[in-house]
Amino acid sequence: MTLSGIAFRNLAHRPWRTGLTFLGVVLAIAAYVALVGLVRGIEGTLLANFETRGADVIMTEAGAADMLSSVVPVAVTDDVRRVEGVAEASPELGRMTTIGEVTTSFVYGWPPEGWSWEALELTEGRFPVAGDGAAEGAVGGVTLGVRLAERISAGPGDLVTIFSAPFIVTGLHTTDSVLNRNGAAMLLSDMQAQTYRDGFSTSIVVRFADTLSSTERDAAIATLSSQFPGLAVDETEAMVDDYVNVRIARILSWVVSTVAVVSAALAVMNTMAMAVNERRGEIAIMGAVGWPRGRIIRCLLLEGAWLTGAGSAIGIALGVAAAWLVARSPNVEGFVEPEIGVSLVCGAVALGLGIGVVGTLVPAVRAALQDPASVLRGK
Amino acid sequence: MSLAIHASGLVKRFAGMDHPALDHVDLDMTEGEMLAITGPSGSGKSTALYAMAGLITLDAGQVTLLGEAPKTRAAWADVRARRIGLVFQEDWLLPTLTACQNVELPMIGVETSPTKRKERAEAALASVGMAGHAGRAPAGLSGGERQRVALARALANRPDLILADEPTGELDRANSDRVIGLLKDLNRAGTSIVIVTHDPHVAEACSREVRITDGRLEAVR
Repeated sequence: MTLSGIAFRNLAHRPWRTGLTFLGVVLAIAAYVALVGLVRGIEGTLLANFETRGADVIMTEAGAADMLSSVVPVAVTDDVRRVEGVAEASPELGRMTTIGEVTTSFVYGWPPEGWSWEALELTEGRFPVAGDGAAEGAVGGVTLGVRLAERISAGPGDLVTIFSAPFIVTGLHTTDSVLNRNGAAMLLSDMQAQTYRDGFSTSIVVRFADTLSSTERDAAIATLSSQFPGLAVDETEAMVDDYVNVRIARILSWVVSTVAVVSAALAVMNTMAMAVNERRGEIAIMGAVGWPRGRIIRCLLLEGAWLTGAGSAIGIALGVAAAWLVARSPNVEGFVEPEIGVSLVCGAVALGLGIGVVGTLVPAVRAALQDPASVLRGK
Repeated sequence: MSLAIHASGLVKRFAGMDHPALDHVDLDMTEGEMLAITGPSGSGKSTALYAMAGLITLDAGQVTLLGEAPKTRAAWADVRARRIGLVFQEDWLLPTLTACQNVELPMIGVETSPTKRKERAEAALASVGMAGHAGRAPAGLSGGERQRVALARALANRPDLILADEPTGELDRANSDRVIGLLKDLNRAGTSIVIVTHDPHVAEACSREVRITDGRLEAVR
């Protein structure tokens, strides 16, 4: 018989109470893992969208709430290219729209010479060119991400409706970016025509010369900022970090996770307080037979650790499953792949054990401080 | 013979009581004695026993047990674990543990080997005639059997002194005689024993009797 064995038996003695508290811990940890994993996934997805194209800096309309509502004149692209240190600059028009049955797909418009096309690996067909689909009554050509093509059962030669207009599928592409695998790309001019944005893009994507030192890179960013005061110049990571939807998702995930975790800690505290109250005699006898206070507290903390340790393990598994299930739901698929790495799992385990310690410590200390004589004498 | 217990000037007051529960109690007990502390209900006899076990904080006085005079709660816990066996009117067995595991309880922290703990617990159970009940839960035992398991628990660390508070208080005559017989056997084997009791039969079984009335101790025989 060990302290851990005693703790486990005490929990098993009240299966319903233990089970319900366990469930609370499982749900709290699952909520934390799923929500934080999804938010990190959103950030990672957006970041990958730029990083797979080798983008260093994104220039958007200063003050725009998010990238998709930004309006940037395409004409400034040439001026951007002339800034010292800038290797390439390309306008990009991004929109989120419905394609077939898929209600949330990213569509990008890039100029034919734009370097963003290089990030897409064609699996079938070719990239669109001017005049595509004219013979078939389409307003232009489009290449679809392989996952999107699979979801809407479309392939090269098929007509798809985008922005309420017919486009002919010229090819299928794949990429490391989940957004692009679930998205579509077309010529900037075609997209501008269909979205009433002639002459405008949502951003200018900039690549610096590979030879730039970090100081030179900072100087180039400063020059861009001063030369184009109407545009926000953000490095890709900062851009994603400041993205309003990411910020909202992050806040929501923390709020919901915090509520769940605090509720679980209170449930554990309630359970342990009841357990300690019921077992005053047993705890008194531990003191009477010579157990020091520290060992009594440790024994009770082990109960909390059993409860929350096992709850964390199940909660993490459930959280991973829930995050992937959410990511695969029709309205979300294509936006996010949950990022549940070692740091998140370690954080969840630490959180679980923290719930156990916080929830158990107060009842345990109170139990250890009780006067065993008065309990054993029935007073 | 050296002293098992040397108590001097013990004073303990409880809120709401007219008189002290212990009123300058002095008591010396030689090693190997079997001492009965008798007295009416509320006279302070149990308080005296708990004071000797370091389970209550005294207002005044000092207890030296088997040559040790613990000052802190932790030091008292250490002495109780190593040298004292405690038996109470209620058995206070942990319902989630088997009889054997209950007996192992005081050995946690004293005997590090779980195997040896189990062996010693089984031996303690055998010494009180409960060898065949080691794996049974307290709920499956009779009152007498439970008290014998509690006695085995008190013997777990092979104590030099057993302090028993009304150990037969909830037992019928047959079980009471059996428990007292076991305590007498232990005493014959050299263990010093203090029994708080209001039962004259139990008091008679002891080699010496003192009586506490309104917190004051007097020798009876």
